[in-house]
Amino acid sequence: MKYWIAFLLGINFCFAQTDSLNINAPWYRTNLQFQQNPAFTGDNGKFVVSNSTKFNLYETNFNDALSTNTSSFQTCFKNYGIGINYAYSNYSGVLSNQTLGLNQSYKIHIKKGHFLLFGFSVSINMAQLDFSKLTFFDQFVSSQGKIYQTQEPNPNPTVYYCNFKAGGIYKNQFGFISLNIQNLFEPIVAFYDQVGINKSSSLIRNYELLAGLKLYKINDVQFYANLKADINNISPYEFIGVQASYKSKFIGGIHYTSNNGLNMMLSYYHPKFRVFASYTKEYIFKNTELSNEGILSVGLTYQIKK
Amino acid sequence: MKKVVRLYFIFMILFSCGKENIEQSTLLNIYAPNAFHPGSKVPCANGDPSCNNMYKILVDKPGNLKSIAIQILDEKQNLVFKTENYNEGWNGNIMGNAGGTPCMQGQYYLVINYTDVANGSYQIKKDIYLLR
Repeated sequence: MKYWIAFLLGINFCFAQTDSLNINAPWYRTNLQFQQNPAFTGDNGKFVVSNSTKFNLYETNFNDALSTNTSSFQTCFKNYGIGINYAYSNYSGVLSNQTLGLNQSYKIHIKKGHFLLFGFSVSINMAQLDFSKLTFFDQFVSSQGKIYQTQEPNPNPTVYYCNFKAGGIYKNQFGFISLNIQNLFEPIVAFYDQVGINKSSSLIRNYELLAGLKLYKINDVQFYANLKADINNISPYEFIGVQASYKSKFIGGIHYTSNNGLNMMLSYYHPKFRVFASYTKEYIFKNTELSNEGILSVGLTYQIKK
Repeated sequence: MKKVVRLYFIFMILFSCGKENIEQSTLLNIYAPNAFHPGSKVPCANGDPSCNNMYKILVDKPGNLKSIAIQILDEKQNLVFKTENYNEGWNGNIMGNAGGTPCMQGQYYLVINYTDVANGSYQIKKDIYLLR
């Protein structure tokens, strides 16, 4: 019963913390990996109920931040992993997305310490729009500001769609490399274009490449190299950088991003209370000077070990 | 358990102190809507057929505007549109190219930096929504 309460309230229970990614890419621990790449399903051990809460702040106030809350359950039987996840994203109360996904994976043991994992995910999604919070250009008049009601017709406030993901991972004791394909069949998500005749109404297919490599260790400080790339023709993004972990409690990292920015990450893990808090700030370079116009992201994960 | 709950609330309070730039020029007004729909057929009150199908801002007393730079960024902070002409609108394509790659429906970030004739520099930041 308490696990269901935790699932609903957004608390993270974790019976096993054996994920090799926690060793090879500690920055990735802030996310629930299998929701990005279904090949990770069950790879964290048996019977894991978890939650992650994350806010993206763009120098606006806290209430306008994009917030994402995900709850999930996953487990494994021999080489098979299965999981369900529920995610809720809220864009300033105007747009929201809810996702209920079913994930499965299969692990192949190549040789000692070397693994290949494959996974597939199907999800039912609901996107909602609060039309009353939108203002359009036709509502404004010079010197008077917003005085009119918009003539824009009300769109369909709720859109349902199915989405699919597939992925694969190779990992060993030194690192991992993973590739997953999101929006496999490019579902149509449009509030106006319900017939889907417009290609721009689709979610574009995205290839996400992730890699982590364990570097050297000096006293209690372990260094890592990380790479992430989103490959698509609309919004590509890459970052590459290094991280250092002190006694697996304090993690700091710095990454160069393809949008000419610098991503800095700090996180803290409290082993007794299983609280994992992360802080990420992205600075964008402007004319060789660092600008403060990047995203600030904060996340919180809470874990209870049996 | 109490310590964990306490820690959670401390964390939330710590990060709830967001920044908001609200100081604006008194010599002019800039009205920025938060939504547009590239397929819209709604004309403006002045008969302009391209009203809600492009993202545009409205400048009141433009004679008091010395310079302006408008930028629109996507969720990953990639620049998708920029202009220094306040009359120019964004059509929802990458860098505004006609016939170019259309951007996806969703949330984008608007950043306006402008200077008035009294050499005061100001900034507006807000979320905008592209609807398909």
